[in-house]
Amino acid sequence: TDSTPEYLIKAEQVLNEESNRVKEYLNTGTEPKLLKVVEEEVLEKVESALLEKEGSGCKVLLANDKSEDLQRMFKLFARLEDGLRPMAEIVQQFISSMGHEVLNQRQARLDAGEKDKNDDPTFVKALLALHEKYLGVIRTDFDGHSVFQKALKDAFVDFVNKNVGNYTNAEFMSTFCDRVLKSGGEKLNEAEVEDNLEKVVQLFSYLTEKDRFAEIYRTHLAKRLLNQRSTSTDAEKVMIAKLKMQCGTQFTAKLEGMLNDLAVGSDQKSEFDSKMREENLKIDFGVQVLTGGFWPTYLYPEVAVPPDMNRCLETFKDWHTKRHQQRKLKWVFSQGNATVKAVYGKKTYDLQVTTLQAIALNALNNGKTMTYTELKETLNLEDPILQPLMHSLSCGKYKVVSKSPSNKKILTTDKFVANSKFSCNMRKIRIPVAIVEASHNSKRVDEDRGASIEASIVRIMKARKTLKHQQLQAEVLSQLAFFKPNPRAIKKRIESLIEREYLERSEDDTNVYNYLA
Amino acid sequence: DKFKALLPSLETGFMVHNEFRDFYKFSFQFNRQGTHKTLEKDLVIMLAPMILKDRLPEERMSSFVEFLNQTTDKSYDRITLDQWMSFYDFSKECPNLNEYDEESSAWPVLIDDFVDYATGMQM
Repeated sequence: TDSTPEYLIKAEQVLNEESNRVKEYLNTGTEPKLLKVVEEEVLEKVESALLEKEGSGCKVLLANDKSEDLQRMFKLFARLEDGLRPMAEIVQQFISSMGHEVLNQRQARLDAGEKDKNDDPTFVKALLALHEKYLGVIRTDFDGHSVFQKALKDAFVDFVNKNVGNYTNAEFMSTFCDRVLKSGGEKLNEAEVEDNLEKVVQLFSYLTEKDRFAEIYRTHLAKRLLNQRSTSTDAEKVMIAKLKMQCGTQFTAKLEGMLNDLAVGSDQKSEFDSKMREENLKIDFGVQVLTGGFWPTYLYPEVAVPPDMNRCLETFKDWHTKRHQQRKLKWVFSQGNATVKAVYGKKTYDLQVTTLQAIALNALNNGKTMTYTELKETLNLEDPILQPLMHSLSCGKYKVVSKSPSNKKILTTDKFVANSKFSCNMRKIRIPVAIVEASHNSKRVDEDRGASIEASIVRIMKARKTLKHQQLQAEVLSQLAFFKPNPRAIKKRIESLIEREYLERSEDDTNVYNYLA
Repeated sequence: DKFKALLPSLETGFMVHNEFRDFYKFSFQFNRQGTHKTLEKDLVIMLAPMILKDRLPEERMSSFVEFLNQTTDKSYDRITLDQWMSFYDFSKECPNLNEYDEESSAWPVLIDDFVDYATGMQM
């Protein structure tokens, strides 16, 4: 018997022949009725068999990129009333299996010993390529028909939300964006950047846990902005605009707020710079003001700031307070960068360090020797911050500070002094330090979710006054766009609202809630 | 303790269902301490069997106590009025735990966890 493509070619022929025959011999009114009969016999009755034929059915055609055959198949089955649905089902299953294959490949790499990190560009690129390919197939072979677009979407939603290893796909998408958007990441021109971002946003649209993506994206954006590592502000804006289009204003409000803070900062910079010149302070000093709610949570170590630096801080504070009386400022010493001019013998270096590293170096200025404990007291820093800090200056690649004993562990008995023997070929040296994070992303996301669920419940109950549990649950789920809580999570929030007397259980029906005004 | 002292002399057998339910609710509220709206789990473990004696099958009560004793879920360290009442209402409505359908139920999660435990499905 014929393979599916062969049969379809014949079917097409037959239909064309009948159509021509009708035109020659019969009344034109007969054409549709006659063709319908032919379609029924030639296509409808055998559709299943054709689609599922071993070796030449729909799945096989997809696997072998048989574009022409798929186009013909589409055109023919499109003639039938419900002809496309079974075909779309097979397409969906096929794409889903290809997606799972990408997941398996990632698993295989992990099984083979690859380190599980929060960054997997190979994986993301594979997903993007898969999407791109079948988007094209649907456009070319299936005329962009909505039934197939839905099949693509449902397939992707199915596997994009399955995580492999310790990190979520939401995180991988975000770190991929970071690569695209930061300087020194992927080497792309402007058009390529836009293209990549557009594609990642399409993939992102399939994520159930969009709020997790947002939180991780926010953290990466903050790092790029504060460390001046963005390739271009325009590219950042473009990405945020795309997310906004997908998810609405509320979703991107914080991100936009962050960009706005930076824009305001740069506007006011020249004004503050002239104030600094007035004061004749010999340090080149700048401040970025962050609006609290927009930025990730940072640590606020209360480090003892040396007098020279402190004069700068006070100058800024005065200047700022005159312009904004109502605002409260809090210094975030855990962030911030400095360039320290270090003179070792005849050579001078520019050390690119963090604010805290600069303060520590200042304490060891002029050949002073200090023990760890003395530093701790003088600087007023806790161990989790001070230890990695001193490690970075004395045990890393650039040992600008000598430690005795000279091992890699930081102990309270260690002594620190500027390393008189330090030498390097480069003039500008960046000394990285392990960052101590504040609260983890995850907790913040879970808290926000609880609040969102409750707000949704109250909104619904206020409007409906009385509602059955199943209906309330269904309406809550339909209102939550950025994550999907399980039924128990919703119940827990309902219980919390009952406890706080927003709702009560109906006395007549234990399955019903009443809103308490 | 005041309450406990009263109880031996208390016969609730004469109360009809609604009256008893009100009494059951009252006994929760009466035993609240200070500004707490909830009761300590240990207090519930002691109180509930006393009050619900002869009102619920012995097996149901004891398996609930067992469940509370073994759970490591911190959110159950204190019991709310809703949970207290729901246990009673639920036990009246659903005498056979195997017929419980979590998906269609509005009972507090405590009840879901209890049913999982009692029917042998440890989470």
